[in-house]
Amino acid sequence: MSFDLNKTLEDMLAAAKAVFGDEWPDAKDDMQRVLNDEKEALKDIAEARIRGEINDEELEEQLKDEKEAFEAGLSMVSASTKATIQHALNAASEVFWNAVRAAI
Amino acid sequence: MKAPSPRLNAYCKFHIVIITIAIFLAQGCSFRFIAPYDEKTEEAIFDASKLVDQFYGKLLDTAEDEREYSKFSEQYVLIESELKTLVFRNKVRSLNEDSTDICERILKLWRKYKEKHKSKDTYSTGTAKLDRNRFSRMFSYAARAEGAKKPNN
Repeated sequence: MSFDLNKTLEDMLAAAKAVFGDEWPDAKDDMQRVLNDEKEALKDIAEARIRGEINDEELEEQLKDEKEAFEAGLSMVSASTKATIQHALNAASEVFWNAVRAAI
Repeated sequence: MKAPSPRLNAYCKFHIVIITIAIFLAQGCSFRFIAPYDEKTEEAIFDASKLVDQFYGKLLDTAEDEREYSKFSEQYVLIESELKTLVFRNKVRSLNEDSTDICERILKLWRKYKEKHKSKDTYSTGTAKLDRNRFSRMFSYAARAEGAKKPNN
């Protein structure tokens, strides 16, 4: 059974894009970063196994632990996307407040 | 006494509405999706990241057959305490679930690796390098999540 890592990551990016919808432009860079990180990490793990630096049991544990890291990455994307929206709201609120003060 | 003209009445009503909105806004009412930025939490993330990286630096500098758990137990406890504090710092802030989640996952893995080191009484080089890299990435996510909250980021 072959595993195309690049294709899988492309599919993951597309899936994330569908989920984020309108917020995708804000989330895209961070999501890309997380997926690239994951790609490199999985390559490192595979190479460590090939070199015999880790055994099969350790390989399995490493993959489980990568899931934690990936989930942490998703939380980061969520936080940064929310922060972007917050900054936009704060800016809009500032404009409104300035206009109200000018009108009084 | 003369009754106020309709035009004056509308003028007064308009300004009452504006002033009411202004008072409402002045009370600091705002929509929040995420906790505000906290500089001390960001510093704590960098400090914890440094401690973990130094731990792995020292571990990898030690010959593989000399990595008994007892030699590292004190550092494990110290770092676990730092990580628990980091989780707590994030958890007590409302609208901060994402950052809390990242730190909880870091703590979870730290405890897992500690227990594994304890039970095996060794830590292989191959595994240590991968685990070190993983922590580095996760701390970068924690730092990014906090830094993103900075105004005008």
